Amino acid sequence: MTTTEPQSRDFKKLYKKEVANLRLRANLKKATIQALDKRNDSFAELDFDLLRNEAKKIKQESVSHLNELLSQFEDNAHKNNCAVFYAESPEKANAYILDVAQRHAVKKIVKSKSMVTEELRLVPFLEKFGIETVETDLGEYIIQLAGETPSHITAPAIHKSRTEIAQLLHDKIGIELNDDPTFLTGEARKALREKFLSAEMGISGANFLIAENGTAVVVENEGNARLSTSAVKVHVIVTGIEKVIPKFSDLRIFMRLLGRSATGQKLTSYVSLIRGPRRQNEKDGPDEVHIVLLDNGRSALVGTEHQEVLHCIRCGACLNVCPVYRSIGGHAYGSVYPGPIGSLVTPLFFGPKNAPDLPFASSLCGNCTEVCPVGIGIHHQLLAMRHEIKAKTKRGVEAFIFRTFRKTMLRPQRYRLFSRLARIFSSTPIVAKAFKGWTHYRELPKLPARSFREIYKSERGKE
Amino acid sequence: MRVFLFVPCFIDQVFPNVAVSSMKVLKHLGCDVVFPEHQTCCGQPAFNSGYRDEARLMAMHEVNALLTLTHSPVAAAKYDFDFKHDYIVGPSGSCVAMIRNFYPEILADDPRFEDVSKNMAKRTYEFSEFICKVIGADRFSGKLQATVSYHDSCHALRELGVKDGPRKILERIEGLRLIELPYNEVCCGFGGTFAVKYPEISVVMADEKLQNFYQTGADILVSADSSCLMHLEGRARRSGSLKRFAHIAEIMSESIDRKP
Repeated sequence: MTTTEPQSRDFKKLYKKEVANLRLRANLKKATIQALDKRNDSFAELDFDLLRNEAKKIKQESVSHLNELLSQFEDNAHKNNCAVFYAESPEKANAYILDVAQRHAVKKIVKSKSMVTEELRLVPFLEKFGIETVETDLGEYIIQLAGETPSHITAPAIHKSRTEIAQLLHDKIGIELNDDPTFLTGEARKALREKFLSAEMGISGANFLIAENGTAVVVENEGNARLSTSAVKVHVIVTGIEKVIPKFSDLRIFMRLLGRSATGQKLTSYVSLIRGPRRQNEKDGPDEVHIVLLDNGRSALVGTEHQEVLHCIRCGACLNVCPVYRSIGGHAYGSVYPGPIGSLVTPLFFGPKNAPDLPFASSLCGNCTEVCPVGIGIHHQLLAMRHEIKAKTKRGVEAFIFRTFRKTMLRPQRYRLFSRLARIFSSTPIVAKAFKGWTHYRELPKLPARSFREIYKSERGKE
Repeated sequence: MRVFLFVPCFIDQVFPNVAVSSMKVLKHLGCDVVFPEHQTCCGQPAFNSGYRDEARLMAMHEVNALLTLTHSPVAAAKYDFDFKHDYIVGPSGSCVAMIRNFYPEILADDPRFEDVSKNMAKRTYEFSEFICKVIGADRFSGKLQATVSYHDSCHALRELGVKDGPRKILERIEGLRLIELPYNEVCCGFGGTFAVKYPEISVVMADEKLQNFYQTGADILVSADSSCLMHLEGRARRSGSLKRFAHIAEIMSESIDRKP
């Protein structure tokens, strides 16, 4: 059985392997710096804080009224002749999508990029039932050929260099070995065009759902989503329930923020507004449109202090800017959602037991919060998660250390005693061993003969 | 103007010269500096590691201790601190952020501390920030032949909004040349217990920061946070580097000595 649970419990094992991979780190550094430079340039002409505040307000409003907005969206989508399915869990979503495919005797599906389908592990699920499901986003296509999972929310193959991609495409689809990006894109396009022409069903995500008119908005750059949603008989949209926003006019705020935050583009090459199946006077478009809305732990966050995590528009800016992500890459997180936002979303969607270390895998530098286009206090959210996790663990070595630490700090005389003991033992192997997380990689500072308070006291004595 | 000097525990124990220098500079600028002797730790290590209850208890102790000069803080009913005229100043961006940004939050549900922590937060400053915002950077001048780079600690930068201040101060030192680090807003990888929980990641970040520092050719890396410097210096020493890592208060103090 395909499991939808993340592998984040293995984070400590996974990151150690990834952090030692120098090539990975070089690939990530190059790509993220490029993305960030472009991001910063693209925002130069706008008042980022102003836009962000507006976006945050809309998201706060939307998430606080999630149920009302969802039923409004559903009503309008029905009016547009779409079927809407509300899936509590990945299993229910997968079963519904499989049922749609089987009812139409679908053999081949073309799929555009969607993180929610990754959350569902939808592709391996459908393939298990003999339905060929082809990723048509170039990055996702590369990842699928490599038999891997995406390592970034918006740039799934970011961990691979151009040369590695050229080699992969040479091995898998038999093209000439040439790492010119234009050549590679052209060859991939040829291979994918065949798939588009023969597929019966298309699957896409949706970046936004507009409640007032039942429209799903798909943002992309390659035109593959446009094809996956229009050149097929059946189109299934799969997205999270938190993507719903009240009004069409709200889009003008998000459109300015999303492309810039993700790739430094003022606007992505394609923005598809999908309202429903082909109408009588229209030449193309699918006969059926299904909209699958995944909950999977989302609605439970409404009204909690983590509600704002639902604002996320999956731009990936917090990953690009995160020095931890850049050191270990997305696969280390063991989750569909890596990076700072992943360290929140993974324990929140799948339960903290499945990702106990992720909220701690941050230096809390706050760079993620600084770039977040919808105003999520990401690093403060991580801190709050740490508090929740540790409130439940009263036992263990670490809890004992902090209890002792607190007891020492609450009594100035104990603190002074501790200070004297530290001076006696500081250069002994016991200390080096106790602090091996430090001393294995760095020198310990040499403790001076006297603490400040001792110096202060003796100076005052002289006065 | 009276300053209650906030000396975070690791500055007291490991970097006393930072506190000595801070006191000297503040006195030089005309402040009446006192050291509340019952202070210990602000609670930040526990707070950031998830131990909120332990951090709360430490915060309560520290509030009483920092505002009290004469009697034992345990019995403190009246504070010596004058909320209208006195200031709390600490040479550590992250510990000051703990008091200013997080004390009001973690003590909000305790009537004994709710107002005090809020009022205290309004009077608490990071050392370089205090000099720029309250005293005025132009009141300071010094002389020191040195080439330095400045490291923005994340807490000073993002929690407190300290960015231009330390640079303005360094510009006031005759003979000192400041060369900016490339990517100066990227974290150095310290992150408190993060440095020992995920040391492999932490030192990758340190090495990146050190490379940028070496690239500038500067002799000294200056910062408003000794914790970042402890981590960077520890890593640099391991690979044999002889570069100097100094708190901005130490550089200021030395520059006063050299100015006739």
